[in-house]
Amino acid sequence: MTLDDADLVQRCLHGEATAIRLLVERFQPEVFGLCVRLLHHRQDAEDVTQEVFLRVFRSLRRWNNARPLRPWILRIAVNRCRTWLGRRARRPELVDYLQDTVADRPADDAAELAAEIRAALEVLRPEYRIVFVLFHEHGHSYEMIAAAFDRPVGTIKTWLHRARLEVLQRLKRRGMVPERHP
Amino acid sequence: MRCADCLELLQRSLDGESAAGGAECELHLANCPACQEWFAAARRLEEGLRVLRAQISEPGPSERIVALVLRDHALRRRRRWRAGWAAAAAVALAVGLGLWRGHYTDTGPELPPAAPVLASEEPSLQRQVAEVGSALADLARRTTQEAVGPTRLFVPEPVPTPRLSNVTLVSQAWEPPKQSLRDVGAGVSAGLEPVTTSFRRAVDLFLRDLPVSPDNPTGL
Repeated sequence: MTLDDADLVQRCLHGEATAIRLLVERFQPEVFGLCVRLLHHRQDAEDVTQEVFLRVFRSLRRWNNARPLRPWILRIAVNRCRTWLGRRARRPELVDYLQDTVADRPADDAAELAAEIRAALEVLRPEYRIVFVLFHEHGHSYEMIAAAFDRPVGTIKTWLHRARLEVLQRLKRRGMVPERHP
Repeated sequence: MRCADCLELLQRSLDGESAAGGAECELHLANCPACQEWFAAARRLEEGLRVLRAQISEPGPSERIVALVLRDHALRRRRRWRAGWAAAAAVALAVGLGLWRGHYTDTGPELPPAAPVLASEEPSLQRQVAEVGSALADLARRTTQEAVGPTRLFVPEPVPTPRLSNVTLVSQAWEPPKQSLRDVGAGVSAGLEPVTTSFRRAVDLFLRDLPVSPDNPTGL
């Protein structure tokens, strides 16, 4: 039998270990995937995922059960990632460059294209990047992302469109778009 | 159709919406190299995104997170319990002190009926106060000794010295400071003696002023 989110949260609030495990397993892949895609660093992503779930369980009493749980957790994850990205921008680490140059070296055109998109996302504003990843890589709707950011859908749409244009611009500039044939 | 409209259509198409006005856009694209380039880039973006979506991310640290959350949960619950007990103890202490003060300051006929029950506890309380008094006197005495004790270290012990010819003995030179340090020690001891005695006297006075219970006329 699958518990719905509200029941699961109630059981977590009573300290049931199985419910806590279930909640982590239900949302962890998505949160961890988002962290990996945004931070591009497995260790950082693990640390942030842990932080996210600690915060989730510490503030679970404040969750309004009239609203869906997923965007609420996603908001916490987004906020933690933004904080982490901001912190990392102020303190660049050698490890990031090493990971970029050794582990993610593109092997063929598809991998090179993916690496270029990744690199284009790296230089985007954190909000744009998160919206792009949530929409294009995680397949979330505008409404879900708006709930996660606590912003109107129109704002999210604008951010995503700007993010796309910047990525497309970079793909053109880096020669990833084939020449036109006359 | 203008380039801006064509780009808007491109964005909607990437949003997954149905692109109305596609025919007009096709016409525009045929004559606009800039827009052709944007559309080509968009196709490449879609190809790249398919690759990115296909990349299976490794499983996350589920077990570690569960363990961490459970530990945190237990820790916070223990903290809440401790805080609850501390608050309860503080309230109990405050109530106890209030009752005790009320009993000893309120000697009139309007004593509450609970007074006899409290009176039965008087002997042990007085005994405790007496013990505290003697402990304070001991403490004062010990403090005096500790203050005086170190000064004794400066007093040199008589050490046998070899007899040397042609050298005058210096032991005589030690005598004046030795005498002086002893005097200091005695002075400090004598100076702190009144502290000890006044402590004891204060405690005695305090005990004498305590009301005597009819069950225990000695007060102890």
